[in-house]
Order: sequence, then structure tokens, then C-alpha cells
Amino acid sequence: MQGRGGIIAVIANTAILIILEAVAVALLRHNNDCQESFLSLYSHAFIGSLGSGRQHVHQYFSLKRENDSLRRENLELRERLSGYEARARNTRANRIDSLYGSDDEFSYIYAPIAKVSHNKQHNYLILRRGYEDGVTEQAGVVTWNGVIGIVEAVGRHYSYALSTKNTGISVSSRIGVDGPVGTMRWDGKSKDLFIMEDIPLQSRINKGDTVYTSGFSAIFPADIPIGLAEESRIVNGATYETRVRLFCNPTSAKYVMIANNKGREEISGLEEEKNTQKR
Amino acid sequence: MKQNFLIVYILLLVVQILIGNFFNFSVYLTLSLLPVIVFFLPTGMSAFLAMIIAFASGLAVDFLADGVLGLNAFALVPVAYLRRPLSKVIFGEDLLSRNGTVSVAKYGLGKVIFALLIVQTVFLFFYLIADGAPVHTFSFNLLRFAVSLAGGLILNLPVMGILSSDDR
Repeated sequence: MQGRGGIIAVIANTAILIILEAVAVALLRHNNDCQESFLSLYSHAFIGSLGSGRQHVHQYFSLKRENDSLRRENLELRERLSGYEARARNTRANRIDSLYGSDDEFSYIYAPIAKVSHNKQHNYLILRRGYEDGVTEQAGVVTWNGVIGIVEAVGRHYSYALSTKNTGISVSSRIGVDGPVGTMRWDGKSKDLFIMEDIPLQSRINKGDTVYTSGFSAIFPADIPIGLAEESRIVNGATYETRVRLFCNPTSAKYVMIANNKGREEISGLEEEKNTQKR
Repeated sequence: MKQNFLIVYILLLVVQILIGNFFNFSVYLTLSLLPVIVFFLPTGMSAFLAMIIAFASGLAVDFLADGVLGLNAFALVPVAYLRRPLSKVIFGEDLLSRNGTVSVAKYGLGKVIFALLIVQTVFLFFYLIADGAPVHTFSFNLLRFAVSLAGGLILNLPVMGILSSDDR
């Protein structure tokens, strides 16, 4: 009881101190020009710092909204970039018109990862986007610096994707901008080491070369940087096999882009037609 | 005893007014008896009353001597606010519980001088800030503080002798 009384007394005394000091400051300000000038300076600086602090707090609490906005902006930029890259490739190949005119080959859907498995041989991801959002099966799951997986099944609001850290998945990839193409798969053991195989023997592979997606699979867009080439070895005297250290661990991403190939149905149709003819 | 203290208090205020009016030796030297006489207010007096007395005393000196209205009042109120906690820390709980007075004979000159330095420091800190420390250089403020502290100590030693009781 006495303790509470003591606290009240301290609060009351502090209040009196503040009031008396405020009165003294007011007297100083109104009766002396010198004090008036530097107290004004003080008060302006104090109010300025309060405003700045408020601004910082506000900025801190709006970081999530800011991040979301940046992600959307990234998505938009990525789509535009993809369009420019497609046009550049078409120009290089001396084609006047491309299959989609000025459109790019892929459309992208931003998706947070709802669940991820990382300690199995056949890892998978659950993405918070489904067919209502435009996700289709066999769409590539990518980030700006890596390939994450392939959509296997699509629900209304969620999708199931096989992770690239799944021994059953391989990704068509290329060493350097114009280098040899091979298939890359997880070695089943390491956190961020993949094996790229079937590289032609005449190829020249340097340690530290960047490995990109080749764009030959209709699943992943071309030229997404995946990782860096490490040691290489000759397999059966016929091809090279090289280890690739990934830029981004597929199981550590929180947000991804689902890349839908706009021409997939047409490509599949052509392939099926050709297969039927052969039979 | 209370009446004696009141008379001594008023007399010391008059002395302070005279010092303020006639003993301006240097811009570096600020001589003030006020923090010591406020510190030596009866220990049984509440902080609220001590702050009101300090404020009124400071205003009186400002009005009749220094000419910067609010300056001494501003610097003296924190001394009154910290008076009891400082006494408790320096002289112990006993002084406050029996509403005693600070005595050089009982507590020793060292402790009393230490208390004097602390209250002078508190007073000078607020005084120099209100007197335009931010527009002066740090070295000027530091020198002014050191000179005023030393001058105040010399001036206040006899005052302390007058104010401190001799009970053991």
C-alpha cells in the first residue's frame, strides 16, 4: 500500500516539476530575446526529430505492404523483360514474326509457398494459387535466380508442385549464354548441389560458368540463372557431367513465380499428333 | 528553530540578490547560494513544497538581481526535486526517517562537500543550458561550469557551516 502511495507521490512530484519547469521556460522565452531564439531552435529540432521518428515507425509498419507492392512490380517487370528477351531472340534468329507476335512466351503468377518438404528424396511444394488464379499443370515454378519446381496438380486455390530437389525431376539447362545444353537433376543428397549431365564431350566447361535454363522444355523460360558450374568429369568416355552449385536453395524460397507457357497446349497437340502418325 | 531557519533563508536570499547585483567578476563565474540553501531545507519538507519554495526563490532572485526572468527558477526546481533522493543516497535513510538536518559533525565534511558538489552540478547544468549553452562552444561551457563549480564550492562552504546543525 505504501509502495503504491510512494509511486503516486513520485508521479505527482514529477508532474509538478514538469509544470514548474514549463512555466520557467515560458517566462524565459517571453522575457528574453536570446533564450527565445535558441529555445525556438530547440523546439523546432525536437518537433522535427519527433516527426522523423513518427515517419520511421510508420515506414517500419508499412514494410509488408511495401514488400507486396515491390513483388507485384517485380512480376510486372519480369513479364516485360521476358517480352523484350523474346523479341531479342526473334531478332537474333532473323525471324520477322514470332509465334505470338510481340507477346512473350510466358505469363507469370505470383505465388506464396504454403508448404514445402525438404527432407525427402521426392520433395514437393504447395503453392497458394490454384486454377481460379490461372495456374495450369506442367507450369514451371521459378524465382529470379533459380528454378524451384514443376506444377503437378492444380486445385481451386492451391497447387501441388514437385520440387527440383526431387530425384525424379530434371531441368533442361545450358552453360553460359550460348554454351552446351544438358539436363540437370538433384544428386539426392546435397542442400544446393545439382548434377548436370549429357553435356557433349567437345564442349568447353570452365569452373564458375553460370548455368541458365535452356528454354527447350516448354516448362521453364530460357535464361533464368540457376547456379555456377563446379568440377566436371567425363562419363563413359562419351559425355561430360558437371556439378552445379545453385544460387537459390529450392526449399528456402518463400515466394515464387509460376510460369505458364502460353503455347504449351499447341506444342503438346503437335507432339501427340506426330506420335500418333508414327504408330 | 523553524523561525531561525526562515530568517537565515531570507537573509541568504538577500545575500544572493546582492551577489547577483554587485559581484559579476567574469562571464565564466556564476556564483549562487541558491542550490545549497534549497538543499538544506528541512528534510521533513515534502518535495512539492520544496519545489514551490525553490521556484519562488529563483523567481525572486531573477526579478531582483539577474534580470533574466525564469533562469534561476528553471535551474533550482530540479535541485528541490532531487533533494530527498540525493540525501537518502548520500547520508542514508536514517536522515529522512527522523527528519534530521545535515550535520558536518555527524556525517563528516567529505560527505557534505560531495553533496554540495552534486547539487551545484545539477543547478549549473540546468542554469547553463537555460543561459544559452547551446549557442556557445563546448570548451566555453566546460570552462564556465568548472570555474562556477569551484567558485560555488568556496562560497558555499561557510554557508554550509551556517545551515548545518551541530547535533551528533
